[in-house]
Amino acid sequence: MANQYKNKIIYGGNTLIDLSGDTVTAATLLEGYTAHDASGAPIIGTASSGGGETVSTAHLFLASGTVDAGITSATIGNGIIDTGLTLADLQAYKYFYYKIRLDDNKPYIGLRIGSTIVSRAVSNGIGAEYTWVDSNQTMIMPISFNVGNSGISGSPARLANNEYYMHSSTLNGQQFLGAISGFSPTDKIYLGCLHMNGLAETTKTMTWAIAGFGGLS
Amino acid sequence: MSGTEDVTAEAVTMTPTTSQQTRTPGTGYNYISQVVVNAIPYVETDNAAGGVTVTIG
Repeated sequence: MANQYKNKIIYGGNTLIDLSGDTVTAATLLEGYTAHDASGAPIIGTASSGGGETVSTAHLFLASGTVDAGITSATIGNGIIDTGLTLADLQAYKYFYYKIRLDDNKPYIGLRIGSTIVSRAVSNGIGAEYTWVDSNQTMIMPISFNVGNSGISGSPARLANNEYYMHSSTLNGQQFLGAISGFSPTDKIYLGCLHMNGLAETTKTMTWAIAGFGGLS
Repeated sequence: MSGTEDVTAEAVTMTPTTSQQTRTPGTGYNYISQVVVNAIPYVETDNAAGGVTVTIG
């Protein structure tokens, strides 16, 4: 079958348009947007997200499943969620954050690599820095590290809408997780509800998500 | 004025180009009796990208 679409036009020896070298594909074009590929065929983008900063990797929810705008549900058993991710999964990104929401009470939440808590925040009683995003007690917490110190730190930047993030000046563009000694790329990543305002860690429904963005380059 | 002279006519064929063209009778012709203008050159060729290259002119 002969090729179907005209992708290159030469008029009087001058090339007026030439799509034959284009690299855009449906998979790399943002979902819903239209273009033409190198063959001249019309395409509709299927990429779920993209753009932002000088990133080489699109913003991506790392945790599997999509419920409630990309938030995956899980049930807290012993106050710990196995995210299914490893340290190596997070190290593929320049920045990332996690988000936790509980259906009840205000948590004292954290992120663990293996059995070590490397980031945590208290949502109640620590001041205005950690506040609820909405009436459903949603909060977005940064993964915050002191590089070289496997202990706890935290000085997240906060957006007007109470979303928290770590600034690049903090991370210095390094694979900061890797800079924390004592961890292996295969160590598992957990999210945990460490305390429930002093209440016992009982079974609560927790929604959570881990997102990464900005591939290291 | 006396005598006669043969008058010869030329029939020409021209092909459009991207530039303006002026055609006058050739040597030995007195006038152009007919001009045939060809179609604009148009060629389609499959290319390696899976599309078609159109060459005009």
